[in-house]
Formats: sequence, C-alpha cells, structure tokens
Amino acid sequence: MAAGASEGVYCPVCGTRNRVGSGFCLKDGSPLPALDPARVVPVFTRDPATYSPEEIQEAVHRASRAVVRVRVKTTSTLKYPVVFQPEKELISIGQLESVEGASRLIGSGFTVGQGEIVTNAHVATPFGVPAQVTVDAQDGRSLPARLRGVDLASDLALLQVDTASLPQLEWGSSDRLQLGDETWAIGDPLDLGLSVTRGTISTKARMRTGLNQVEAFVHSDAFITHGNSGGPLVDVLGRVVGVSDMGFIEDRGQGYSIPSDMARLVVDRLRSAGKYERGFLGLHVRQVDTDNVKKYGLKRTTGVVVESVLKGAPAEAAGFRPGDVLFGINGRQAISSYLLQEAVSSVGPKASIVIILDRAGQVIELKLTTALRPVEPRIDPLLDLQSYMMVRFEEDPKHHGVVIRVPDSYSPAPRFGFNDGDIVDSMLAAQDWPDEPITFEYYKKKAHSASVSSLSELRSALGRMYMGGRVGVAFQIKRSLHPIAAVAYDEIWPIIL
Amino acid sequence: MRSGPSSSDAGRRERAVRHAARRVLRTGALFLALAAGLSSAAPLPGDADSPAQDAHSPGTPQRPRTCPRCGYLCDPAWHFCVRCGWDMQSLIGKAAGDRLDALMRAVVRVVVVKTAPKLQQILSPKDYKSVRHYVTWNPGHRKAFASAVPFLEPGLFVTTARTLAWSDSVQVVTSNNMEYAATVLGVDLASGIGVVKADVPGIEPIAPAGDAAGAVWAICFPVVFENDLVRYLPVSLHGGKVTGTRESGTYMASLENLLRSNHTIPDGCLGGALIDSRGALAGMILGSPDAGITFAVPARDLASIVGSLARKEPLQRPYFGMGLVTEDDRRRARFGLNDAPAHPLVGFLAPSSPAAAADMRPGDFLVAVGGDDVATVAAAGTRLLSATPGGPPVVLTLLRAGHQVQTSITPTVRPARILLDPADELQEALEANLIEVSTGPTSRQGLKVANVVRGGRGEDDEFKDGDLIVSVNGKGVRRLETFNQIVRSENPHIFGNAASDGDTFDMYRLSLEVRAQGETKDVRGYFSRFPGILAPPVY
Repeated sequence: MAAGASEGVYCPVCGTRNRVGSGFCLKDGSPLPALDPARVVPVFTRDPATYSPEEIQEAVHRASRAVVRVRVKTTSTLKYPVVFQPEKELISIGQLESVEGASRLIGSGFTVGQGEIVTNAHVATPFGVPAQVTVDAQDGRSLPARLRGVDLASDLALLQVDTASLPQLEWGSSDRLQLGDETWAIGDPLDLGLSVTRGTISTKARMRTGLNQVEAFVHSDAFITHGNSGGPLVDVLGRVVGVSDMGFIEDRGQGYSIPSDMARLVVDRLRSAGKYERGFLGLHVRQVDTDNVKKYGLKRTTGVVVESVLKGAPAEAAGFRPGDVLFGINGRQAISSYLLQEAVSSVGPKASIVIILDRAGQVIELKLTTALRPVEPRIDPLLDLQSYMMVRFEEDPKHHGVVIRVPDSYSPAPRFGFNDGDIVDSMLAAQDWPDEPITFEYYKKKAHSASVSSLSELRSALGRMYMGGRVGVAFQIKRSLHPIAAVAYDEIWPIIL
Repeated sequence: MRSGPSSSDAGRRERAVRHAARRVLRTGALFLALAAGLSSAAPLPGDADSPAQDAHSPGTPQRPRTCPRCGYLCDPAWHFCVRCGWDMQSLIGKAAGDRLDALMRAVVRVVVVKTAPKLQQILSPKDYKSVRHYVTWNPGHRKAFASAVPFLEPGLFVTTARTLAWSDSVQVVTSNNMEYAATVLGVDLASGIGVVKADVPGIEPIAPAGDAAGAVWAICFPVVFENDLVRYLPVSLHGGKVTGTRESGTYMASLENLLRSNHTIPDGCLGGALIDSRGALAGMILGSPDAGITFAVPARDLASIVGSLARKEPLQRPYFGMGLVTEDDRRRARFGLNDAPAHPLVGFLAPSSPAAAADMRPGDFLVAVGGDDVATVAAAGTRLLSATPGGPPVVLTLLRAGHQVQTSITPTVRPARILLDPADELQEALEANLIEVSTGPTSRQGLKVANVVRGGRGEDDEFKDGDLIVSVNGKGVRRLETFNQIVRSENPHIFGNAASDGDTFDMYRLSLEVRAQGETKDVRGYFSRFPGILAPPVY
C-alpha cells in the first residue's frame, strides 16, 4: 500500500520523507530525484514481507477467527506405565497410572472447508481412544463435532461440525518458507483463550523427533505449549503453513509444526476416504550417518539405510537386507526419509512399487507389492528398547541369563538403575504392571513375571511392553541391593516404510 | 520424582520429545559431520555472496531494482525507495533466507574448559537468579558453553569475556559439527568482550551494522542441561526487535552502552550474533537476564576493542574510579536526596582512585563532563572514556546538595581489576543500604540492613529491612570502616600489595552474623561477587 506514495518523496540516502517538489533532502541535503510515473512497474505483486505491522495484524486477526478450541472428553479409562524415583536413589519404581473416563482435554484446531476442522490426532482421539469432541468457535458457539477421519501416523485428524458459517483458512506452502520468515502460531494454550505467538522460521531442515510415525517438522521459535496442539501456524498473509504439534517446554522458543504441504495431503485423504490407507513395505530405516557407514561399509551416503526388516512384511519376501541404501522409488529419486515414507504411503495397499537401492555398491531395483500399513507397525521390541536405553542385551552363557551392556556414557540407563554388567533374572512388561508401585515385595509375591534366560525369551516377553502410547518394562536384576529397576517412556517411532 | 497425572496430551508428548531429542540430535550431529567431511571442498558461504554486501560496491554493474513495496523502479545507488521510503537494503524473502543460512553457518559454538579452583564458580548466567547463584564445584575441570561471532578478520571470533575468563582450553564447533582448537587472544571484563582465534576454513567475518533499530535476528547455539548431561541443540534463529539502545545498569559489564532486544534466548546463546534487517552484525549477545530481555554489545563498540585484543595490545583506558548509577529509592534514602535531576549519580568511589583523591563524594550528581551536559550513565561513560590517561585533566561539574561544584581530575590508566571497598561491594551486591548503629543497647548495635530492593539480590539472600549485621568473621562491627578493615586484613591475597591483576578468579568469603528483628541469631556465608559475577559500573 505504498503509504504516502502520492504525498511525499523520500530521500534515497537517509529515507527521510520530504515534500513533493523539494530539490534536496531536509535532513542530509542529498539531491532528491523527481518522481517519474513511468517508473512504476505496471503489473506488480507486492512482497508480503513489506507489510506493515497493521496489515499483518489484520491478516493474523482474520486468520484467528477460523481457529477453534477443541474440547475433548474421553469415555474410557486409559492406563499407561510410569516410573518414579525415590529421592536421591538411582533406582526406579514402576506402576500404572490412569486417566479416568470423562476427563477433559483441550486442544486447538482450524477450519479449512465447510465445517471441516483440522486438528492433531492426539487431540481428537487422545491416546487413540474414541472421545466426545466439542468445538468452540470464535463467535461463541459450541458445536458437537464428529470425527471425519484420523491418521495416527502423521498425528492429524479431520473433524466435522454441522455448520457452514465458520470462517475458513487458506492453505499456504510450507516448502516456500524461508529462514527468518515471520509466522504466527494461533491456538488456545493452557485453555486461557485464543492467543497468538510469533515464530521466526529457524530451520526448514525437516526435524525428526520420533513422536510421530511419519514426520518432517518445521521448526520455529514460537512458544508452543499445552493446548496449542492442532492450531495453525500462519504466514504474513494468514495462510496455513503448519499445524502446531509440539514444543519443548523448558527450551525457550522451540516449536515444532507439521508442514502444511504434508498436512494438506493427509487432510485431502481424510476428507475423501475418512482414513489414509497407507502403503507398507515393512522396512525399518535410518538416515545415513557415520555410525552405519562404518557398520555396513556404505559407499553411498545419501538416502536411508535399512536397519531391519519387519517379520512377515512384503519387504521380507522381496529380499531386502540390512545395509541396503534406499534412494529412489518408481524411477524417481527420494533420499529424505519423509519423501520415501510418503511415496510408499501414497500408493496405498496392494499396489506394486519399485524401490531403487544400493547394495554394496551395486544399484538394484526391487519390485514388490505393498501391504496395508498397520496402525502401529513395530520393529523388534528388543531393538526398540536397546535404542532408547542406549544399551545392548547379551546372552551370558556362564550365568544362563541375559546381561546388560552400557557402552555409551550418554546412555540414560544408569539413571533408571541399570548398570553395565547387570544380569537380568526376570521381567514384567507394562501390560502386566499393577496400579500399585512395583516394589520387591510385590514383584516376589503377586507379579506374574516372565523369567528371562535367553534373548529370544526376552524378545517375546518384551512384546507386551507397549501400553497407552508408552513403553514400560521392569526387570529383576541379580543383585542384593535394589533388585528391581523399571523404565518407562513415551513411544519413539523409528522410521518405518 | 513421580510424573504427575497426564492431564494434558501435550505434556506427555513434550516429555517424550525430551527423551527422543538426545538420540535424534546425536544422530543428526553425526550426519552433519559426515556431510561436512564430504563437502569440505565447498567453502562455507560467508559474506561474499550476500546481496547486501554487493548491492553498492563500486564497479559492479547493477540493474535498477524494483521496490518490493510499491513497485517503483529504483536506481541501484539508492538506499531507500524515493516513492515509498522502503529500505532497499533490508533483506526479505529468499535474499533474507539465503543470507541467514550463510550467517547460521558462520556463527560457531564455543566450548570452554575451566579448572575450578577451591572457591565457588558460577553457572553460566541464565537469568537474574543465576547471575547470583553460585554452586560449589569440586576442584577439577568443568565446561562452559557459549556462541561466538566471526568478526573483523578471518579466524577471529568474538564472545563474552566471562565465557573465556579463567579458561584452560577453548574449542570452537561449527554448525556442521566440525571441531577446531582455539586460543584466547584477549579477555576484557570491563566491556564484556572476549576474543578467540581458531583456524576455521571458509568462515568470513560478519560486517558490522550501523545503529541498529527495528527487527533483529539472534543466531546462537542453545544447550540444555539435563541433570548431568548437556544436550546440544543445533544452531537456532530467533526473531525479535530492538527495544533499547545505550542501556546501562545491567551489572553484566562495567562499561555499558548496550543494545537491548526482546529476544528470549536459551542457555548457550551468550556470545551469539544479533543480525539486523540488512544482514549485518548489530551486536554480540552479552546476556539475557530474563525471558524477553537480551542485552548485546553493539557492533560499533566491538570493532576497536576486538582489534586491540586481537593484536594483544593493552587497552589503555582512562580511569577516574567513580561508580556511576541511575538514582533510585535506595540511593535516595542513602544519600538523603530530595530532588531527582536527570543526571547520573555517583554511587560509590573506588578506593585510591583519582576520583577518591579529588573533591568528589558518593551522592553527587554528575552534571557535565568537560562542559558537555550528560544525562545518562551511558552518555557520561562515553564522554569519560574519550579522555586520555595521564593526559589533560577533565573538568567535572557536580551537583551536590543543590549546588554546582566543579572539580578537575586527571585520569590514570584503568587497572585490570577494580576492587571496591568491601562495604560498598556488599551494599551493591545485596542491593540494600547498610546503616551504622552505634548507640543504644550493645545487643542492638551493628550494621542495619535497610532499603532492601524488592525482588533484588538481597531479598533473594533473605535479607530484610531491619536485619542487623553484628559481626563479620566473628568480629563485631558497628562501623562500615571497621567492616572494610576486617575484610581487607583477612584477605591480603586480594587486597594486599601483591594483589592479583584480574587474571585469577579470586573471591573472598565472609560469614556474617545476622540478627533479625526477633533477636534470632543466624550466621550466613557471603561470597564476594565483584567482579567475577557482577561487574561494577565504574568509570
């Protein structure tokens, strides 16, 4: 809006505004060129970055009218494993905690179509259980919402309310974001009412945290906190460039949003089919890094490395091996884990797909038919636990048991009470945990623990460690002091194609 | 510690992110290191390809550019659009993204190993509280983390003085996780600037900006302390605005003329870069007392000091020895001031300094320096620092009890370490006045604590108005002079003739017997905080 374009001429050196017709700048005396109407570019799109604070305010205000509060009432009681540590002791005691039925949860969401509201899956169906959802619009209406579709893998959900009169948001492009771009996260943090927090785009580097099965976060310095989940991240024009998903609480200004390009894809599927039937190969992969370059002697350093192949999955039959480097799909190059995941997902189940990979320096194409991606595809639970704890379980023939090796000083294992050389006697997985603390007394008298004398026994018993979106397992260790130690954490998803 | 009931979905996820991030970041770091190894031939983008730098360099043919706001075709030599006044040098869109990407590769992380002496060491200042907090470290090595800005010459990196002070070894780590050994070239605690040298290929110095205003970006390397573990986060970018210039009274540096911005920066960001909208260096982050408040040394002040430190030249600064503060209720009460003229107040005088020898008293207002009226501490500081050590005397106009007094002082060379009278130090450190009580019953005699600043350091240390300090290190005190004598005589290694020159981190410890109003006795330890933790505003 070229404020004052007709009223003044600005000094080309110092920017001071002068009266039209002045020959020299009032402030620094520089000669002022005459304004030439011919120099105004006729077809011109103004750069959004030149918008004034008032214009931005207007756009953000307009966008915020399409943001809703999502109130959720769970109907069933959910239990999940937790551990607590007695004061100053390096041991941990596990137990189950529960969220009672009819507990209230609050999140945010935004309207994209007629009565269609996008939010996070963890808001719409907390812990994956059905819930009663109510949407509070900005005009004060409370509307019952039904779940149109949910995609747990990307943590997105689409709700439907029976009204056409809610203001709608437009999708923007997260791919076109630049470092330093200003964005605004709108939501209902801490249930305090609508609030807007500014975020500067800090990295487009597609951060992975392992909280969602399929993810590629946009990182901004917005202060995203409880209740922001599901709210939009909008750009200067008020277009959605992301869906707020999570933030570190203590870490100032670390907000993670699902990029709009990814969200839009998922929402379109949810709209048309009510679910996103993703294709599935059963490959557990990892980005190439120095560790696996050494481990597998890789030649290619772009792409993803197969870490393991899931049992009974199409990839097993097709002959994938750990150490294969995947870098293309159906004749196209795809080296980011997200693009590979999305490519496999988008073809759907029972589709044929060609994977291009590098095996010991040789480029191979493998053709296979996809299966339907399970809701929660899981790798070998032993690998899962080992990678979180940064430990190795080894069979110890001398003691007829399994020994824990802690090779890494970064390992969190010692803080849970596990030390290098501990010999596991038996274990209790989360699905068998009680509501009371798992003390030695309890463990000895009441628990139905599984004895562990070999890795295969451990592996099969660990299958029961997943519960309520978390992982929990208590071990009995052969030692006199504190023989019970437990670990519990939120499930961290490895990259599974 | 037991995790509470998970009433909030987000809380659960955020906890998990914390656990996950260490692993994610570690693998990320390894990958970056690998990528860097592969592409080491490609130089890191520095200033060379920046449009901001090229825009007006002579000799480069430039096409006219269209103003992004109003569409007017501007000549390349114009800094501002003549039609709408848009700053044609400010970076937006892709140009900003590319420039910031380059700058984010140029800023480095600094990892400093320090040997903790027997005494206390501070945590890296995170907020007001931890500026005050100290923890007892067992003798041995510990690490400090900060960021540093490439400045002035290739290979020179500027960070905060306290990061580098008393260090054993220094390492810089680039954004792609390559590590380089570094040497400390100089540490200037007075201005808060420290300089290291490291041969990092491909990183060009960031050009300084003029007077910064409006939007500024902070670039730095956050770290998170999790129990005993340090979690490195990748280089991060924080948006913000300049909220003040020429700020003083932060106790982060003695010579303050700081830029203030509204950034909220995490740990590890001290020494990070503030970048203005044209992609030039606006300042080096000195500290962040709290969320939304960040102080930085402006780039224009960096240049001369960094140059001298890099050449290992001694900084010859003039020294008067007056502590300049902005008057407040506490000082008004202490000096019995009624009026509040808009001039800096002389809060204390450094012992055996030129100011103490001249006709100058605490409680005077400094009205003019050399005939120039001074309204703020920063303005007075700038004016005083322009004097020549040992050179011609400077005429100071003082306002004392409503009357103007003139005195002339010949400045000497500023010493590396300025020791205040222990009584002055204690009053500044506790943000409270000490009043001599030597009449009345013996049990009610001592140094009375008064005017404790609300939310100040004294209140944090649980001092209240009316508390009575009756003895120091077991010796009774009723007068401030006695207090000074006791502390001086018991700490000859600090106050003696062979006193240290600031190269070592000496602190003295006092045990103060405090009698609260209810006659209860309480012996409290106090550790000197100047200049290791708090920098006295002495000119």
